[in-house]
Amino acid sequence: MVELFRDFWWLMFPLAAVICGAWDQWMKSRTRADEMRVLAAYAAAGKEPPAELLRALRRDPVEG
Amino acid sequence: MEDLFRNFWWLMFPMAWFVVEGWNSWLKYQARRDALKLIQAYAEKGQTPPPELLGTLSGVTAADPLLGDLAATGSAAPSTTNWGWYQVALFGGLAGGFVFLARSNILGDEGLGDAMMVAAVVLGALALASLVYAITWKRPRG
Repeated sequence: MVELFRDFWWLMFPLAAVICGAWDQWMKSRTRADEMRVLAAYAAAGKEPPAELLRALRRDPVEG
Repeated sequence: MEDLFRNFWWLMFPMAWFVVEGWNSWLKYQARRDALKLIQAYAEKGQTPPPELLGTLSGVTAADPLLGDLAATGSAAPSTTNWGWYQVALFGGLAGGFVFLARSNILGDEGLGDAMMVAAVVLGALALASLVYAITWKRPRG
């Protein structure tokens, strides 16, 4: 097992990058779901969501 | 096992960086979610949320898991400073330092020298990417 680690320790970097990418997508997906819930609340109240809110939601939550 | 740790102790630093970035991303997500919950409460009462609250929503951004705060300005307005040159200097300097350490064998461990070369290549690639970013960067209008 130790020998295997010595030969393939570098694999930790691409694996960590893949895990980070998946985590990032998960965060984005949850953020979008939360944003949709807010818009649904406005729709249920029969009100137009504020333009500022729509502008903020149009931004990519990760890119900023 | 102790021998393994002696050879790969430096791996703790890049791995800790990944963990810290993940944690950072989680905290920013929580902040954004809390702001959205507040806005939702206003919406359910049929009230308009204060502009300051909407402003915090624009400002709260999840961190880029690979570049961290160097990529995310943390504010709604795009940065008027070309941070690409800063990154070129940082990553380029680090890459040069790692090459020097690997070549000079100053730490007296050949295995470690190889690892430092790998780190130098990664940092060199980041410096190159930052150079492209710095050259192609355009100042935001307004």
